[in-house]
Amino acid sequence: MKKLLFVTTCAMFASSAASAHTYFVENYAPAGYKQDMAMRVPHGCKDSPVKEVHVRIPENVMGVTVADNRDWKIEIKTRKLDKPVPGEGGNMVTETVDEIIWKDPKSPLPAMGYFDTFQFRVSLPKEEGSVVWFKSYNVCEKGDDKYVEVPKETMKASAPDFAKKMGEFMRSVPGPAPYIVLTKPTRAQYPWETLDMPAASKAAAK
Amino acid sequence: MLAASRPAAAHAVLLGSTPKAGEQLGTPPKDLTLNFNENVGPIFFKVLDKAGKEVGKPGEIQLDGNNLHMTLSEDLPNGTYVLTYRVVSADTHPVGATFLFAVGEPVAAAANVKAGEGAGASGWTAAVAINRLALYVFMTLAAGAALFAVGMTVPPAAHQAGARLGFFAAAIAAIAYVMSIGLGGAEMVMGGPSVLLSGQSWRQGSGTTLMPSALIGVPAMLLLMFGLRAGANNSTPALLLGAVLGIASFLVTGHAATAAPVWLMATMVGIHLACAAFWLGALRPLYVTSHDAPVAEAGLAMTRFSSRAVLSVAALFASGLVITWVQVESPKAMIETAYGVRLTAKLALFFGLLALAAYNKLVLTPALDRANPAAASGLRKTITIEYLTYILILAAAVSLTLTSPPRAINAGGTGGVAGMAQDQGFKTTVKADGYSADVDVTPGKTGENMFMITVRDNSGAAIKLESMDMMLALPTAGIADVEKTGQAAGPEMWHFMVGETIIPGEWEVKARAFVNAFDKVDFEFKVPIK
Repeated sequence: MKKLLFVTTCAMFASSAASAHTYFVENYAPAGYKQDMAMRVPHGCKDSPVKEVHVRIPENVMGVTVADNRDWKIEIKTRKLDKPVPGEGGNMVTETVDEIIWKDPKSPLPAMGYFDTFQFRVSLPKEEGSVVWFKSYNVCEKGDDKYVEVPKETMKASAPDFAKKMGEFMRSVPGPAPYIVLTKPTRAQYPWETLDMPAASKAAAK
Repeated sequence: MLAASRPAAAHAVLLGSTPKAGEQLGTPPKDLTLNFNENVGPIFFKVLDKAGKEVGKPGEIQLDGNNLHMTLSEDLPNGTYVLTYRVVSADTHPVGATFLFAVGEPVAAAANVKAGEGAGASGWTAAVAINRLALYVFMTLAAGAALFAVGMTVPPAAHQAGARLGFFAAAIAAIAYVMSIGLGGAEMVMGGPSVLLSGQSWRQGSGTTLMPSALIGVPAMLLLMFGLRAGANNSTPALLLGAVLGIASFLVTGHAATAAPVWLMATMVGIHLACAAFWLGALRPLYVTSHDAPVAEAGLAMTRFSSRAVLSVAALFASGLVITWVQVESPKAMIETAYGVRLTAKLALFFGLLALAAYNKLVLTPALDRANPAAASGLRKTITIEYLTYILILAAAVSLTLTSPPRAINAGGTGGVAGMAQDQGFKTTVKADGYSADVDVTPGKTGENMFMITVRDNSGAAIKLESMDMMLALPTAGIADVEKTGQAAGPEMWHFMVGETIIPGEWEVKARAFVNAFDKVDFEFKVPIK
């Protein structure tokens, strides 16, 4: 047994922020890339195992495909687009993925001790320096766990106090949404592209 | 900085505690323990009494593996305590919670009462209702005896019989006034029979309108006792004042007399009560008259009473109509709402009483005038039935006070705790993102509070929500992270029972109204708990 100095403890822990919320394994990805997203669910709702995982695809994220998962049943909800947009190969896309649900697992994800990762692929928006939030929630055998909090003001990675603001935000809310920060690409995604003309826009230009 | 590369671990989870949340301990605890699933670092861990004063000292907190201990050097006095903690998990995320436990007595506010049951489900409600029926019966009997003594002339023996009954009725009513405070408080505090003896029940009760009611009512009953003992000739002012104050004591509580327009409703309820009391007070002297006095004299008394009774019955009925019209708002509500049905039953009983009175006036009184002895015994029978009907009518009146009138329901009121005026508690409206939330907290006092929240869009229409939760904190007492999940109390109304509000102060609330599973509106507001 050891006695604790309260003030010291407080100060020590207050200086670090972190997420054991549902989060993306990679926090950064180049703007405009096609990106494999790995969403990690690290625990259940308090002491209850997870039986459903939901994620909502933000409005400016398109081209969603979902990795197969032999342990969970996948359900995809779509929404109609206000205006059709050109997709790959020049087809006009009128519908896009709105929500991905992983449910009815072979066995529920234990409340603690293990994590699971849920994968899907998206076309990231081109806005360098912006933060894209994917609201998510888990349904457990008892209760649910919501990760749907997003900052009231738009965050810009280029702002000098970005890290401080993100830290403050993450600490101030009960369940921040998983997010990805869009970095400035240093090269084109594929070797046959150049940075000023990535594959998608080439296809559209043809 | 953001520790993105830290190992992903679960938040710390509280596996158990001594005492458990909501536990009632027989003896003061020596050691309080929180048991977590992993190593934690304490941010704070404290125990507060109901006054919000911290007990124990930070230096007495020890960390032992996954357990956090607080040793108490002194015994905690009997009472309810708030245990509040916040720790950081291995993943550095702070987690915390707040719960109640009690020493030597039931936990002050039943934090685990299922939403929807509310306060109405407790056994105390029945006790409150019975006491209120006793109060209604004996107060009207006493006030009626006084009004009759002042306003009517009957043979002396009959007068004395009426006054004697009134005297005892006033004494019982005085006790019922006092009991109403303790029982009303116990209804709010809840718990076993011993709660009635606790100071907290009486403090809670004295914070309601039951207190001013008793403060007026008890002296009124003492005045009546004095006046009825002394006789009408010597103490007319005491009798009148006692009757008026007794009736006034009913006007400061209950929903009818406090409904808008207050001046009209209070006047109507006052007239209604005075007429009913006069009628009830007349029964005993008339009974004795018909029994003891010569038939002719009884006939004379009845004739005199009848002429006044007609007036008072008309006033009784007219004032009742006005009250009904304000409270019920539509004829349909008379059969479709709980309040309306009870009122309909009361009216049916009243018409029964009216029929008896008509029989007395039209058949028995003329017969008495003709000195028919059978009429006297007939009168005694009808008087006995009138007594019984009266008690049923008053029982119906009591049952009315236990439900909300359509007026209050239509206005979005929630009824609140029986015996309390509608304006009790705390109400506020908060706006956020083009939405507004109507927040209604009852009773707004230390102990368990019920939060009712309705969210409206910018057109003012109540909207359906997917779910709602709340986080409460009382920064002045260092209480944080009181988490509550709302229960749907209706299609658009959300209901939270909060037992942790046993410390007075300005509680800060963050409510999240989920319009769908992902999108929500955040409302922040403060609730003063007195």
